Amino acid sequence: MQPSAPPSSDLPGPGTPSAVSIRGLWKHFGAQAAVAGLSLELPAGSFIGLVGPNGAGKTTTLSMVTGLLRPDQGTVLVHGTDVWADPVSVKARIGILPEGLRMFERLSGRELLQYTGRLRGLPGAEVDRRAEELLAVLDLDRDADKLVADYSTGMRKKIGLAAALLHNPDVLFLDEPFEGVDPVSAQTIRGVLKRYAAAGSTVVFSSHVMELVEQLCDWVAVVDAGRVIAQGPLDTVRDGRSLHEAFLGLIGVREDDGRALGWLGGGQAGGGQ
Amino acid sequence: MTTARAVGTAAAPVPDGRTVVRALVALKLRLLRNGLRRSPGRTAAYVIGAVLGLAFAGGIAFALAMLNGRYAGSGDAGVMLLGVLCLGWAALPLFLFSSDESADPTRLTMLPLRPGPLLRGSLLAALIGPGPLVSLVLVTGAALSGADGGASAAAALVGVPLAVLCLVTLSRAVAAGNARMLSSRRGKDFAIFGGLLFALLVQAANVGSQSILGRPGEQLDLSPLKPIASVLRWIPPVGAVDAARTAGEGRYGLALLQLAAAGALLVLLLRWWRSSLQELMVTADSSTLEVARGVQGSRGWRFLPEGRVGAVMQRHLRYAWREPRAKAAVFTSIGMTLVLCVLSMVQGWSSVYLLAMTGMFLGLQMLNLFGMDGSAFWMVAATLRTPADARDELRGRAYAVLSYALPVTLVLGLVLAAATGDWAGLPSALGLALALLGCGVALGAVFSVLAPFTMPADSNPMRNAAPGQGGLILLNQFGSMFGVALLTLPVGGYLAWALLSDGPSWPVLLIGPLYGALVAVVGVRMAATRLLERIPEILAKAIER
Repeated sequence: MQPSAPPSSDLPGPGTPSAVSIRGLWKHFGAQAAVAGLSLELPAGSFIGLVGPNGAGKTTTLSMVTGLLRPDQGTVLVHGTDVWADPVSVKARIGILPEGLRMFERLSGRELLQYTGRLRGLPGAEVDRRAEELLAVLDLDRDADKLVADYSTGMRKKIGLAAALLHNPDVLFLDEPFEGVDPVSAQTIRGVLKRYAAAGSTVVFSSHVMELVEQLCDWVAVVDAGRVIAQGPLDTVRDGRSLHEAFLGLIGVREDDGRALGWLGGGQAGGGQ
Repeated sequence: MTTARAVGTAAAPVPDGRTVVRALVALKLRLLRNGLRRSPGRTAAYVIGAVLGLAFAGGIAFALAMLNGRYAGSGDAGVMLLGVLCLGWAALPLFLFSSDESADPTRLTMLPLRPGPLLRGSLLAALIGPGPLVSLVLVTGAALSGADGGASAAAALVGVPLAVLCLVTLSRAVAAGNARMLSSRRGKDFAIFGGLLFALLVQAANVGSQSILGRPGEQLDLSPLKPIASVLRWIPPVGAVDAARTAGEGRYGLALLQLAAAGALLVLLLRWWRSSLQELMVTADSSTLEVARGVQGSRGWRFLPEGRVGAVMQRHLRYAWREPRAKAAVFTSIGMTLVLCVLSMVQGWSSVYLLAMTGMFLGLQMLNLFGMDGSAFWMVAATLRTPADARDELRGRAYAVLSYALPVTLVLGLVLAAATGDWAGLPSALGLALALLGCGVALGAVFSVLAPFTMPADSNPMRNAAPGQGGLILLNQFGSMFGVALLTLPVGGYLAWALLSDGPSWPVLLIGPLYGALVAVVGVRMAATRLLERIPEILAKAIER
């Protein structure tokens, strides 16, 4: 993986082109602003982690960046092309694995990949070849003929990832790809993502598991309350601390209240009066 | 046992029986109340439904009681009613299971509950609600239909509550005995068919009762019920009510035997229920147990067109077969026309032009295409890039609908023509149906893009729209029917003219399909031009809440 920016700067240097550039993005749901003037430059060829607490606006941002949710205001450029002005070329270049949105679950894993590939306009034989390879690499070949509805969480994420990678996109957006995934599947997913990023493609994924972000990413953006509160290469953002500490410091979490829950723990099981 | 109170740092003890029973009953009441609190409309619907149900049951019970002494074999009618009730209560969990949380014991498995109190609490909780009350009224009516004298009253006093208990326990025991199956995906899929089957059975019973009992207004003759009732009365919970009649006729021994049999059945059902509960508490849940079978690849798909159109068509057809909601929609539209055809034949007003309904209903399968996808629509949205993509997407779906709508229309046309003998009318009826089909496809595509609505997140197939979208649904369902009728006016108008003035009606066989195809093509093109720009809005609607 290549270093994406000089450690002193928060923004990618002039030499590094942006894979994704977000400017002044807003989205309101009713009176609440889920994303409030978010701006972000994501360097190309990086493994980028988008971190933030629940409800910070990560999913909303990723939806708007990938053309699934119309922003109230702001622009999103993917490799210089406006997502909302020219969706044709953008959609061909990105892969998405959303969280919380379902797939066509009454298709088998293999059928889902074939369907997705053909929707993407790939020739049938090529789709089949890629699908079989992805199924094998992601360790899904034995379950390829089962319905996705019967898959476990880890298998679901893996088949979703396969569908997102099928057309070999330039930028891959993943919303919580490791949520509820067992360590074995997580390792498989991680391996595939690393290989993909090593080839010079860009991965953008959201997560609230700091250890994972620390291991995988070379660039992070911290989002809170719909805004970016820190962004830059991993080492710049964590600034000598662990990412976990840096994150809690940035968000401003209060200390544990030691007095509450005094009765919890130290009881005798089955004890009564 | 220890008292159920955790004090200081001690962990909570196992709660005693009475606490558990009280908690379960309170849970049921709370679930009822919270279910109602979700919206005033729901509360109103529930209250009105309950009141109407009770009034209806009261009416039936009163009618049954009135039969007594006026018609020979009035007791048979009561026995029949109880037989139907038994079937209903036994089948109830099969398609209502997922909607009644309190009936699902697997939700309690993590609590330290002994089976005894759990059983008592669950039974008491199950007796709360309008269902058991309605049954009580009906069973009372059934007992009154054959009762005669003081001995009857005594037998009914025991038999009626016993029968209601048996019914409720039967339902719960069936639910608990099959809980694993019912809460699994396959079980839920099956529930769709349970529901459809039930609807068709009700219609069949309707047709059957009309042919047995004759039309309203004619003299009531209960004698055809006799052979069925003479078997039914030996089945225990039915027998408990029939005991009122046998006791009234002075056959006390038989009455006692019938009551005892019902009591024995109740004990057996409770035992079954209890052992199922015990089993449920310690076995793995369905997601672990479910051994998913794979799907077979098929070479039959090779005739489909290449590219997006073929992929979309294939996916749509697979869903029509595999996805409960899509399946239910397709099969109800076919089932409804079938039922209407049979009903019209039995009642003697059938016509080959009923085929028009088939065309209309099947064409409207194009309604809310993307809402039916649910949040999976993002997979379509992410790949729709060019206007050609949008057109192919809609064309693929239209072809998918047509690929079953055309053969079904043709077959039903032949059946109707054979049944009515009106072979001369078949060509024009087919033409009209095809014109309606084409207009339905066109309007369905346009409405799918302009007015999609949200399907509920749960897989309950009986609810076919998420709440709070009354206007949209009205527009979709009635607006589209009205629109299709309006669009087909040129063809329909010509046919009406031809039939009324003895003009040639056969040209409709040519005009109809041509006109339908033309409208469908125009409709799909119009919808496609709007589809691309409306993707985010459609996706926002398609995501379940």
